[in-house]
Amino acid sequence: MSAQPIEAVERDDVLQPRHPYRRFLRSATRWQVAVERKVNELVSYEQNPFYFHGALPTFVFWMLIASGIGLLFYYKATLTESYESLVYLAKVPFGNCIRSSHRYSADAMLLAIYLHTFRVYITDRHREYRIVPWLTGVVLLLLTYVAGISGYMLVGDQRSWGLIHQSVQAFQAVPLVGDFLASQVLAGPDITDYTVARALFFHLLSAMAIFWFLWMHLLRIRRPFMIVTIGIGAAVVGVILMVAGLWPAGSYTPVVEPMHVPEAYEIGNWLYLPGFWLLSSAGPLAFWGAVVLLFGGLLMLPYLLRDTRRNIAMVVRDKCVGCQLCAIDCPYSAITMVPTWNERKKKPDLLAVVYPPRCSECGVCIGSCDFDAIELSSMPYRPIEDLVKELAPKREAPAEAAGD
Amino acid sequence: MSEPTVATTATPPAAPFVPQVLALVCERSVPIDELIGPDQRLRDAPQVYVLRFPCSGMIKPSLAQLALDEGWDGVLVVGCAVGDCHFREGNLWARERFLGGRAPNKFRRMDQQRVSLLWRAASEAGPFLSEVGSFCDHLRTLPPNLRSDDGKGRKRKR
Ligand code: HEM
Ligand code: SF4
Ligand code: SF4
Repeated sequence: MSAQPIEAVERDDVLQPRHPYRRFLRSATRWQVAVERKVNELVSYEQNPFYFHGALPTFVFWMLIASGIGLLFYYKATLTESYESLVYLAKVPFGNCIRSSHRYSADAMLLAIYLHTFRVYITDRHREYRIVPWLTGVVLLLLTYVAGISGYMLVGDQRSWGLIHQSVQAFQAVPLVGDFLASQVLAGPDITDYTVARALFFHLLSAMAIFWFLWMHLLRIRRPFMIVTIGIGAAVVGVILMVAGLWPAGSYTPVVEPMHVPEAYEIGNWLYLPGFWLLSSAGPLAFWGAVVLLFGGLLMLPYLLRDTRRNIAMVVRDKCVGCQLCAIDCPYSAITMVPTWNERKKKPDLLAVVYPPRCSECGVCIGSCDFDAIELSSMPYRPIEDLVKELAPKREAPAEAAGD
Repeated sequence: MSEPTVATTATPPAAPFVPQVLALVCERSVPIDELIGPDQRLRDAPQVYVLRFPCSGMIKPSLAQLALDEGWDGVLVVGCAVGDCHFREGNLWARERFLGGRAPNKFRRMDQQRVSLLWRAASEAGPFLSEVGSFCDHLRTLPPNLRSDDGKGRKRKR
């Protein structure tokens, strides 16, 4: 038996990282973890927002849905009436509260997503078997931008028409399909009532698509943490309502002539709209360059570092009794129970089967199994137990004690 | 759950009693590769032998029980800070299993004097070492672990 069975497995991600990027990620993780532990000391770990990194955007998303439904009761999607309907809403009791909380929830959503993305990246939770959550997450980020930008197109003020005109300009710069894309934004050759309806359609479609991608995002995650604690939820709602009360959402000046390209308008929101500042100051090429850089870069990020995988869990067929404990405990839904013929019991039974691309090599399933029926392929448990026996302190037991 | 008769009947050892500790450590928690020497023992506390696991969720309570049965004086189980398992749920399951609330260790108990669970993050080498120190101090107040049964007089079946 080798003296160090654990040493034999060199999982390159944790043991002596040689790769400089790997070393960077590792020390970055350590810094992040130190910060989180400090937060734990301030509020308890049960209220640590970092531990609810995925639940936070989910929670804010529900706030957006709720306030958005409130807005739908009053909003009129036409050129002339969109602005007026929001003016009317401000006179309704709580009207401006609903509108403002929708707007600031949207900001909170983007902040929460960036916090989430930052955390899964910096703590090295973004690669390998987590590729599906990461890639669908990038789509979620894109969809959030689509929802936000189309939302600002709905207001019916100077900025709305500015955004529409600029989007048209940006799409027209795309080779071959540019004119087609631009006409899709406008829903016709020019800004009409249909354009506003089209913006509303994109706004709602992207919200629905967020649901769809969220489902894919969480497909591989068993029991995702999706609910924030009451404390965190109350804090988020409180801050949003407070900001909404202090700086109620408003519109810029209405525009009588939407076909006329506004010379200059205020961007106002630097979370969703910096691309439009880039568009007006540096042109469509810079805009598309920035878009490709952000989303392409995010898509590429997990491929910068690959692990050599050789420690996937595997089931010892003859030992597995089909109790399902491993399949319940696996955090990444990597284990499925399949029907099989049990030769010993002479009857049909269940057998655990590991789906390797999902397996994180964590070994949690090994801790679940009372029958030693599942093993990490390069780290079998038996040699570990042998080592524990071999290295145990050998003491001369006194005669009295030995008789016990 | 203690061992009442052994220490009082044994003749007091001449050298001070150094408890032998088995540490079952998640690699993602404390930066263990910086704390151990080539002999897999903690540099600051060579009586602590370290076995590394990819996640504390892989540590079976039965392994800790085996270690106690084989005569280790104490077992340390070390995982990431609660709430922050790299594999999302490993340390939650480990904690529940060791506390006897989750299968496959449901309703079983082990000597709680000799098993300690520590949840420490990658940035906390210092607190970890001091906790190891106080665990060893605590073990020194106990008699050496001489038993080879399950504490109820039955030989453990394996
Ligand atoms: C609408 C926005 C988003 C929502 C509501 C959301 C929600 C969630 C939730 C609830 C989880 C499960 C967390 C857990 O239980 O540990 C999760 C995991 C994850 N998310 Fe997101 N997410 C969003 C956007 C993103 C983005 C933009 C990225 C990165 C580009 C991303 C990357 C990930 C990754 C890699 C995981 C897996 C983490 C792990 O396995 O520990 N997500 N997300
Ligand atoms: S826990 Fe063990 S016995 Fe039960 S299904 Fe999984 S591999 Fe089979
Ligand atoms: S090691 Fe086991 S518990 Fe962990 S992901 Fe793989 S199959 Fe699931």
